[in-house]
Order: sequence, then C-alpha cells, then structure tokens
Amino acid sequence: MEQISKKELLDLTDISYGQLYRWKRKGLIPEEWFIRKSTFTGQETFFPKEEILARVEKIKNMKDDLSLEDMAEKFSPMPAEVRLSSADLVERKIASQSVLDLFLKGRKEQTSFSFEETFALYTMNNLLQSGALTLEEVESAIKLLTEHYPKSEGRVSELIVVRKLGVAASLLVSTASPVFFDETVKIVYRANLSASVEALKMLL
Amino acid sequence: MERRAKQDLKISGSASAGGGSYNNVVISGQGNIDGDFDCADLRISGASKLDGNVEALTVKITGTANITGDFKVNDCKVSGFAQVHGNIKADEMRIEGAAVAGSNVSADWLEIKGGLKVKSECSAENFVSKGAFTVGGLLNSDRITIELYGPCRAKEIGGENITVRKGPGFHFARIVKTILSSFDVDSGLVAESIEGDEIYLEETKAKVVRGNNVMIGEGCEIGLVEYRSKFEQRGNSTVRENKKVRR
Repeated sequence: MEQISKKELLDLTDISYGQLYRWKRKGLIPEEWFIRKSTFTGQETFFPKEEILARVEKIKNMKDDLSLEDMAEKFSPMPAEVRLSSADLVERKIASQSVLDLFLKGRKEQTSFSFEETFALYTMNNLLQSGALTLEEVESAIKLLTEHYPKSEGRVSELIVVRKLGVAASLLVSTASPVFFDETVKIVYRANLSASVEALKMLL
Repeated sequence: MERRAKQDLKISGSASAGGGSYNNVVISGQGNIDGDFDCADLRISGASKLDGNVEALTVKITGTANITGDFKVNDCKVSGFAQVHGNIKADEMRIEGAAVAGSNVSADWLEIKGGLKVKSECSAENFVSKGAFTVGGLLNSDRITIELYGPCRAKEIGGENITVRKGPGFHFARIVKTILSSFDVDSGLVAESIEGDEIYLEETKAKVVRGNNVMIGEGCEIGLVEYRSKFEQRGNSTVRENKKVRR
C-alpha cells in the first residue's frame, strides 16, 4: 500500500493544517489512517495514499452542501439507524430478488433490514456479480463479514477471498497492515469495504 | 409501563444509591452511586464515587468526584477535583480546580484555569488554558489559546490558530517552582510537534513546528520550523533550523 506524508498531502490537495485537524476531530478521517513514523526530525505522519486522496476530494466536493456532522455520518463505517424493506433493497438496486432469497435461506423470515444486514446483502450482490466465486464461497465470506465487520468499528477495511489448490478462504484485513501470500495462493476477490460502505450510503 | 416524573436524589450524610434516571442530584456528604445514571442537574460538594457511566445536562463539582465510566455533559464546571476513568464529552467544560481523564476528552469549549490531565487525545473547537495541563496524545483544536502559568505538556498539538503567551505571573511562578522543586523546572509549554495555520509561541520547547505563518517569540527552543508563507523570530529564542516549504 502506497503511503503519502502529511506534507505531501497538504501540497497536493491544497488544504491547510487547520482543515485537516478539524476533519480528524469531526471523524471525517479515521484515526487508523494516521500512521505515525519516527524520522530524523522526530515524528511524521503518513496516510494510505489512495484512500486519503479520495476522501479529501469527496470532502471538498461535499463541504458546500453538507455540514461536517452530516459528512461524518456519511463516512462512518457502521452508521445510521437505517431500516429498509425488501422492496426498497430491490428497487434501489442494492440486492436483486434472487440474492435476497439466498440471503434469507436458512434464516427467519424478515421484511425489514438493518444497515448491517443491508451491507451484507450489498456485498453479497457484488460478490455474486463478480462471477469469481462459487455460491458456497460467497456464503462463507458473507458469514465472516456479518460476524466480524460490525464489531471492528471501521478498523477492518478489506475483504479478500483467496484460493489455494482449489480451496477458498476469506479474510478481513485492517487498513494499515499489508498482507502477503505465498505464490501458490491466488487472490480471487478483493474489495475495499470502507469504499463500498460509502457507495452503499449513496444508494440509501 | 407508566411514565413517572423523574425523582430528585439528595445524599447529605454517608449513603449509597443505585443508578438510573434522576432529575436533580445533590451529593454533599459522602455519596456513592452504583451503576450508570443520568440526570438533569448534578451538584457534588462532598466526596463521591460514581461507579458507572454518568450523563447530565449541567454539572457542578466543588467537592471531589470519581467517575469510573464515561462522563457526558452539556455544561460542566469543576472547581473541586474530578477524576474520570473513561471518556469525557462535553459542550462546555470549565476547570478551575483539577480534572483527570483516563482516556479522551472532547468538548466544544474547554477552559482550564486550574489543571487538566488527559491520558490520550484532547479535542475541542476552542481550547483556552490559563493553568497547567498534560495531554498524553494529540491536543487538537481550531483555536488554541494558552496563557502560561505552569507546566503545559502535550505530545502533539494541531489546529488552525495556536497562540502561546506567558501569563503575567509566569516568572514568579518559575521562581517559586525552582525553589520548591529541583526537577521539572520547565514551566512553559513542551511538545514534540506543533502544527497549525497561524502559530505564535513564547516559552515553548518543541522538536518541530510546522505552519503557514510561524512567529517564534521569547524563550523558545525549537529544533525545526517549517513554514509556508512567513517566519519570524524574536527575542532570546533559539531555532536550530528553519525551512520554507513550497506551497
């Protein structure tokens, strides 16, 4: 994962220290993105480059229309008292009817969905649409996601599905830690979860 | 369930009460409240232990309060001593006595006239200190105004406007401190890094100061100043290195 120093970030995006610290305070930039490193001049802060540049761009675009609090809600990893009906989900293209049926298989019948469930459905829809995974693999990835993602409070940022010798495994990985696999492992699916939470919120 | 008006709670001898939802709470003796509780108004003039999370609209602590959980309040004034083991979240918080936070503090308006110690991060829209403080992590505020009367410490400081001046009694305080204790005679501000748009510093020790307009006043010892527009140095301060960074 490529990193960018705070200085470079300020130069590149033309924002001020005041703005950056304000956005951090308001929860617009997650704590995990501030990676502190010791250098010869003391401490320096680095950020995951792709994520922070995308985030700053979004904040700049939204800041004329939304308050910082509203934006924080939009960026928050597990937000919002949301409940959607099954009709809403299909209508807003969050999940297709067949994905919904699959999700509900083996569960109690339900007609309204929390944000967490909606996110699971949305991810399931994406996984199935990618065509890279079997149904069983999708189900086990979704089980992992629903069990651990809400509890991680935004620390987990990536869902990775790998296959080795035909056997699949899914992983949840945190923002600041790179993962390495041996060469016989094939990555079949990789999704940035914070980005997909944001994408999902745009559909709500 | 039938809704009833919330009860008042008064402890004036030595007594314990359970948590819950109250209207006005007054503790003037030795009072304990066990469990989470919320109330409209909380006044503590005795010694109290509040075992759990506390949520209140207005709080006045003139005695001592020991809160084992989180503390959430709209308007809070501490002129006694408050120890909070969890997080403090306040709209307005004024500390004339002393307060210790075992985790983070966040407030809209935070004013220190006594002393504040925060273990991790301290954030406020407005931070005004005319006393002493120690922040173990980042002190993050739009507007930081520090008048130095005693030792002020923060690992990192970040914000928009950062102003540090010595208070009128600063030199006197230093002499008293030197006589009273042979160690820790830095009665100014000490921080590893200070970053902001507009920075003015006096009596400050820092490894790095980064900002747009940086003015270093009397009595500072700074390792490196990185500035974007303007840098000025006055009085008997030392700045080992200064660098203009391109904008």
